[in-house]
Amino acid sequence: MNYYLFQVKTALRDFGRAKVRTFLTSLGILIGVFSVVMLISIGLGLKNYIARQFEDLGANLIIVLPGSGFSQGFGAGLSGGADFDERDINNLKRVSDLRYVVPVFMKASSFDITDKQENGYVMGTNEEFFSVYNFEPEVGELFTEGDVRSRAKVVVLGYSLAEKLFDDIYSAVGRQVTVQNQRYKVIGVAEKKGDNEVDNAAFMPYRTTFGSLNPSKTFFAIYIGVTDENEVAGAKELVSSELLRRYDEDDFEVSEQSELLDTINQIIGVVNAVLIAIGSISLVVGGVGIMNIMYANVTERTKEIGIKRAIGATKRDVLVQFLTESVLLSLLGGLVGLGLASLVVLIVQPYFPLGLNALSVGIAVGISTGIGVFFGVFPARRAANLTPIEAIRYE
Amino acid sequence: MSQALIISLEKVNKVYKVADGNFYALRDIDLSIKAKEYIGILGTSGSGKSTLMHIIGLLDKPSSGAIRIAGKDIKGLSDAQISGLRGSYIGFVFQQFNLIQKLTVLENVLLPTQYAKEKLDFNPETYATKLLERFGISEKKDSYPNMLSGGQQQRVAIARALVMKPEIILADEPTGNLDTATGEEILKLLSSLNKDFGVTVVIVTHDKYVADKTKRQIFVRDGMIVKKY
Repeated sequence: MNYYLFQVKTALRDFGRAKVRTFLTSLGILIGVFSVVMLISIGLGLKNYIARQFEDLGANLIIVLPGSGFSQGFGAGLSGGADFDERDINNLKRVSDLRYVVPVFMKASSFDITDKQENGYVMGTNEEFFSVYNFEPEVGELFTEGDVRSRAKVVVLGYSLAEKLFDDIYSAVGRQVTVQNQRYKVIGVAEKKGDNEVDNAAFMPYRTTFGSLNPSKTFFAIYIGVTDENEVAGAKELVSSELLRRYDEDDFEVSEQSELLDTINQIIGVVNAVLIAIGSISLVVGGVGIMNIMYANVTERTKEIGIKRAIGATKRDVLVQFLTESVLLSLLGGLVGLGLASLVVLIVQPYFPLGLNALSVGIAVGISTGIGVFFGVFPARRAANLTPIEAIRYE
Repeated sequence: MSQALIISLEKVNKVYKVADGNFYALRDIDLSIKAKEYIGILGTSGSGKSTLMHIIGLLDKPSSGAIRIAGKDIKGLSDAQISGLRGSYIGFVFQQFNLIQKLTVLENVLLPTQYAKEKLDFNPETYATKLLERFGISEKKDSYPNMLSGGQQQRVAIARALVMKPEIILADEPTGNLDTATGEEILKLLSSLNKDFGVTVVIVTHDKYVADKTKRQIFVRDGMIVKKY
């Protein structure tokens, strides 16, 4: 029989004889690999999710955020800087070459109908938002420039929110929804976009939100759309120079979609790496568990080592035997952990785009093999360094 | 006796450090064993006979002196080279049988062939089965050692010692764990190995009766060879 096949077969037979011990020893690695693979999947999923949202917006989009935008992290983007208002929208609309100027106000809120209450987001914007987002109504219609101007108390519901409030979305049009004690008429339901926030939003003319929903009459962001991708750079300069007439340079950030996506991906990458590092602690604990059991194994099987040495096994043969066992123990845990993680990914995928790629599989297999070698080499060396005579005399 | 020397020890000492100085387990041992000899090494408990066997069998290293196995001086050899020499030239039979309990009889017998570093010029499985047949235990080849009697286990151990077609069999108290009748059978078997296989057989024992079955006896006392016949 091939030498390595013989070593693997022997190790697997030993595992078969001590199933519970094998399972418990591999459990640490199983949990560790499961955690790391899940965290990688969540990171990939988040990136996919955000990328998909940005794809919906198209490549011709410029995003204006208060403060330093996202370039200095989330905190910088969401605190300080300019409070954009309707004057900024009107000023930007006067700049030629800008096809769409879309204010965005967003607020979490509860929505009531006669016998039901559901949570979602109020999104105050203008009619151009629907063009930027490639929105079509699933049923009814979208609000118009006239509705914005006249502060019409109308609302277009996102698909999921409409589904939650009204069992049949086709019965939603014409019904009244109450938000913060104000009643709004549902004029349409937007098509499903597969984006949690958008599908759970209620779109209102921004001027309509200026009452109790948005008393400060400010916006969280301004989306600018241009006709062609090549115009993005020039449009950014035009937007900046317009806004600089009113604000300081540090008060706002004008970003292209791709810049924003890169920054967000960078942030997700760092957060994910930290989480994976924390998850890896369980791998180390699992490795120490394997080491502990392998040391016990060496002591338990000293006599066997002695017999094998007497019949011709070299130090290397003994080293290979114990290393094979520790690598297989670790690899078994790693593969089961990977299998379980894949199962979870499959189950969760319809709700959240968790990702599993060759990198996750490679990392799971690589890490568990590496741990098996690293934590197995010390007990294996102890076994190999036993002199034949002291091993065979051991009782 | 015109055969070549298969084992040769010159001025071999084995010294252990103890609290009040040095303890000589073996002292100035000179021993020559020719190929195909049948020898008994006799000594009381603590005489050094087992240490001598371990040194001859390359399981232990001497503190000083020279050892040659089939003309090869073992001085300066690596662990792998010594293990190779042990695996191909020497077969061991122990008092406690020393079979691996989790392996079947056939797997135990085949185990030394798994560690052979050079390609064998025979089919190990066929040869192992033939040995088991010859020793009357072929029907037990798939049994585990704990299902066998002491005599059967010792036969398995002898088959394992022979599977690599060694030139030397070292047997340490091979009848020590057996009743008289079974012990007799094992001694006959060892004698037949010498006669039929032409293997050098060295039996280490405290039992004069066992030693008398061999063709030449060496007496060990206090780590020294005190008498040779």
